Amino acid sequence: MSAQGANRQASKATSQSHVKILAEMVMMIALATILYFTRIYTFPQGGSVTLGSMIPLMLLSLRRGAKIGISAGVIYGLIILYLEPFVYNPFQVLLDYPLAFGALGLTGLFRRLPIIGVAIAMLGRFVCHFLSGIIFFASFAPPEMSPIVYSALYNGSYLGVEFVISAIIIYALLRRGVLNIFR
Amino acid sequence: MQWIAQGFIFRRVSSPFHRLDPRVKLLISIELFALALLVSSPVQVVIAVAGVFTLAGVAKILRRMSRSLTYTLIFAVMIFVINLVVGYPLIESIVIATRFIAIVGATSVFFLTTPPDELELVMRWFRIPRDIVFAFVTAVRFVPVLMLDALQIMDAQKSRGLELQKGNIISRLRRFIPILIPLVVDAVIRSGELAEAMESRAYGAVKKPTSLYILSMRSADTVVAASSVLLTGLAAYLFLTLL
Repeated sequence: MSAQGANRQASKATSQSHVKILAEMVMMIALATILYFTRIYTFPQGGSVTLGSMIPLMLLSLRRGAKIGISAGVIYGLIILYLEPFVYNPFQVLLDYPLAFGALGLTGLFRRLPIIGVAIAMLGRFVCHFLSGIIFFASFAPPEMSPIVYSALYNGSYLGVEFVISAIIIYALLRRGVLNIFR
Repeated sequence: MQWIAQGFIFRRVSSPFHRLDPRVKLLISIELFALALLVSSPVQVVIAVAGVFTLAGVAKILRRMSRSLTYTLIFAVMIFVINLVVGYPLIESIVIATRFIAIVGATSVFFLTTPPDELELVMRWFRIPRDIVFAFVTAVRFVPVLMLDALQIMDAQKSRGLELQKGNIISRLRRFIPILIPLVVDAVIRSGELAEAMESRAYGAVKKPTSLYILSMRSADTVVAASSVLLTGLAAYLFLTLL
């Protein structure tokens, strides 16, 4: 086979895996969107605990690396924005949707230590929601209320539970070798 | 869970507002949002809320909007109570809380009246990378499909004796794993099928693919866009100087 032919075949192979990864992203995002609407508990102030809605994205990130995971997270954030718009400030939109869910892709940075990765991803999501919470309290609550404390309490309450759920399920799934199906 | 699958089917409502170019809808939504952010007195808040709900009325989405604003309403009540408790006057607390409803309502008008395929065109117009636009739109379309798969898996596992509605949180989590594993496997299988379908349609073969539908402004769109800019400018001017 000529050099050119081999070259063309190589580029075809990379484009094939590109398409495959893109399709995997699509399905994992759709799965995460479904799980987002399975609320097992809704806090009185509005935050809700889902049945591990972040697990598909974390699995994708562990499977295909942080870069793919982060871009999938950003798209997932945009879908949540589309389906449940809750916008009160231009910066809050960025923080609450693309950045907060994009942070879930950070799981892929710790492929050897998945539980640490889950913790880091949740921490990233917490930081984003925490900052947007500060914007919320600063613009709608009286200045007497300390925005830092209330935002931390509010976001920490449901993200903490969400972390425990995600960590348990991810651990159970990895032990059953879910990551390596159809590699 | 069936209702979730229903919720994802975008109902085509025919109203003058729905027929507008999606970019004009986005523009109007952003204008209302900016206007609501400027609000600081009772008269202004009435104007902003009236603007948002008149628009929702024209677009015939009042019922859907009130459903999606229930969450916002809880927040608004919370804001109202907190402000009142801390010692703000009644009127001012009401203004702050109502302003919040106007702000959130302004953006939800756009999202409630734009179907995914129109959103795709808008995203392309903003030159968002094609892979991202594709992933967004396709994922939204696949949600009902995967939803039905999930329901089927749940039924299958139930018929094998899995009880989903019983027990405390820990045992419910344990029972969720036999649902989640087939679901992930199913999603991966479907992703393989999707990849084949994309390959056979030569996805990514052309650097700059053309689109069957192209956004084009009709004269009505231009008129609406221009008059909305004028109205918003006027209202903003009044907000800042007189009212």
